[in-house]
Amino acid sequence: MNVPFATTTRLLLAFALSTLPLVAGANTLERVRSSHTFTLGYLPDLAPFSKQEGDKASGYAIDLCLKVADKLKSELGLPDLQVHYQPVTVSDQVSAVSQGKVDILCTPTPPTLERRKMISYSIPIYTAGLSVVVRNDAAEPLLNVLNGKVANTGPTWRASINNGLANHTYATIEGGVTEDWIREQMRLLGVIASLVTVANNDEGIKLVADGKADAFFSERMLLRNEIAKEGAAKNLMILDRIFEYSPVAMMVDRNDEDFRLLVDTALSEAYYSGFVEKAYNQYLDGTNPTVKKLFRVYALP
Amino acid sequence: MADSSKKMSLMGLTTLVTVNMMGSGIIMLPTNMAQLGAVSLLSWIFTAIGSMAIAYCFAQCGVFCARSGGLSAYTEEAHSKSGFFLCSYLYFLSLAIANVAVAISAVGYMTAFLPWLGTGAIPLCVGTIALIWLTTFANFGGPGITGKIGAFTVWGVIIPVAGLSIIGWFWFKPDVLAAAWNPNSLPISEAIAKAIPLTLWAFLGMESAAQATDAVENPKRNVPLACLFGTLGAAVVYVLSTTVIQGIIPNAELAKSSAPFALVYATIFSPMVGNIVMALAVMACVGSLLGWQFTLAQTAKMTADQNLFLKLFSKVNSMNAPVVGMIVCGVLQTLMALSTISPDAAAQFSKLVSLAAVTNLIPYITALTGLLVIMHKAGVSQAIYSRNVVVLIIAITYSLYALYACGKDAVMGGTLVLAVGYLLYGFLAKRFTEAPSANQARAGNP
Repeated sequence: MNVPFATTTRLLLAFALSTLPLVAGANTLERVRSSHTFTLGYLPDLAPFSKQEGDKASGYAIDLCLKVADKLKSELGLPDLQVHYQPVTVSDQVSAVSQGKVDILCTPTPPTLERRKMISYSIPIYTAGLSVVVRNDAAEPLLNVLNGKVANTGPTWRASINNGLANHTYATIEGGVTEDWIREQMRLLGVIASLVTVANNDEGIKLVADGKADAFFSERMLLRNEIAKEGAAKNLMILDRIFEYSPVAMMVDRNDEDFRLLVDTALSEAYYSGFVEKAYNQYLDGTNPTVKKLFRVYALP
Repeated sequence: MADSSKKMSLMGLTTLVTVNMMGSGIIMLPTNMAQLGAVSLLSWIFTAIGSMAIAYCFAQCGVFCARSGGLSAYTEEAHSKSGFFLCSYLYFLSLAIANVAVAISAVGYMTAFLPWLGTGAIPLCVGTIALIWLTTFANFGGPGITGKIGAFTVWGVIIPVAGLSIIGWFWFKPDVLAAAWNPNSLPISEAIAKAIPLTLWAFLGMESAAQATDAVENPKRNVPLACLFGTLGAAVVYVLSTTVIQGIIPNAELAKSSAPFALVYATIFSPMVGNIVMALAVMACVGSLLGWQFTLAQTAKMTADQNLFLKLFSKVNSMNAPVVGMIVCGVLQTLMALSTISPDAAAQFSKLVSLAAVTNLIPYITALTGLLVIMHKAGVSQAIYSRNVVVLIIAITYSLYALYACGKDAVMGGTLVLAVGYLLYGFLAKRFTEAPSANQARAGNP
């Protein structure tokens, strides 16, 4: 070795320091074993997936996380494992996982390449669908267009009731993939429309309910949940059509294949045992043949 | 018989035809075409030729058959009395429904000036009914007055639409049109196929010249000329205005405009001018409704004159206006307008409007086919006969395609309405059949 001693030491030190957080985060199983605690991260206001209830939480994703906890108990031989519920926010959800503040983020999110640079993902636990909410009295051409049909099927002649009145406003959450998608689609949708962006689902739904927008695009289950809330406007409906699909999954630490394998094993078992289907019936709007087909796609053999 | 001063002149009838055809349809046409791109302009080649063929055949019918009755009279030449009745019945229904729809559209455009009208279903309905009766009462003055009002309101089309076809070229930029050519990158054939339905039915209404036969000076000359000139005028204005507008306003902006003619004038001059243009367009729309209410009453009158509709439709006042029939039509239309207050019924009404296009097109076919007999009776030369048959085939093909393109729901509804028409005629047919004389009856039953 021709490398001077001092340099080697510095290199070694630098290496050790830079890998410290990685090493710290990479031992989820070790952390759980030593603390006898499994910390579930979740977004507190994302029913029916995860919802805060005092110092605990409930929802579809929470139930699946508890399945993971059960698996941990049996695999690590820790029957007295404590489950701790830790609410996180959208802005710190990734860092909470990467810095080991939580062991897993139960609330599912779409795995993007950008996020994968920081954290890793379980197998998908749900298929998000882009859907749309309109008022019950929505104009027929608008409904036709949103349902993928031609706006006006009849002849266009002097007596066609004017389209001039039908100047629609679409709304969506700012900056999402949805926004680009709608801008792309609007031209060919065949009704005259403009697009406004909002900060969150609440705001979007309120715009439609108040008649300031005619259609709000967002995730189907979240829309459904917002509308089912007590005190929500009663003049709204969600269309059955799903415009785009996106599988969503739980965030786990990066470079921790052992933990990830355990999570995926627990989830796959939940798929095969029918637990997921039961949870679908309990929290979401039940299953259908397509959803069941996806169960078999997502579960690892 | 009223004297000719109470009748319509050639000029009055030609403007009536042009304004009738454009109606409220022209107001949104540039937006609809811009959504497909300027490539949609190519569809005018097909629809203008087809429509001119129909207008030419109607004009030929008028030249060789000067009797009163319009489309129904031409139909009777080939399809006898039941044809006359069915043609009138279908056409009457078509106009009665379509006129309510035009009134609704006109009120819709008025909301820009009277926002109250747009605040719900009831204000819209009140406005529609008010407009129906306004245009009914305005027709009480007889054909002469209707023609004069029409000659005034036509400026609502001439200034913004025809005017744009002329002065718009000073602001026309070929590169704007080129950029707008095919924004969705559709194959040309597909783009044209999608565009034809936008312009296919834009010419419905050319027959209104023939329907006014009773109310025109020198109908043998004026009806054919008004039919041809009116259709030609509309075609020229349609093509020029929708072309020039796409070379002034960038495509993306035009495709989402809810008032394209106002937008183009606001761009050229100022928003104030844009508003004035919008007001003129609304005025033209109301003017066209006036013309259609007139045509509706005339159709009923001519049919009642033939003892095929209730006699009350043929009673005219001193100004040659069939007032009682107009009031009956107004009541019928008020009921239709009232029904649209409920959102469900409003959706049903739009289906009725599609059906009305079908019951407008079937009389075209029955009347056009009458030309063959009309020419035979008139003993036209072989050359004229051959020429007209060629044009007739084009006209019929176009009408059939327009009928087909109305879609299966509308055609099915139209067919049911037609079948009911046969039942109605069954009750009327005895009026035209000689009852067996007493002698024959005895001979048959010894």
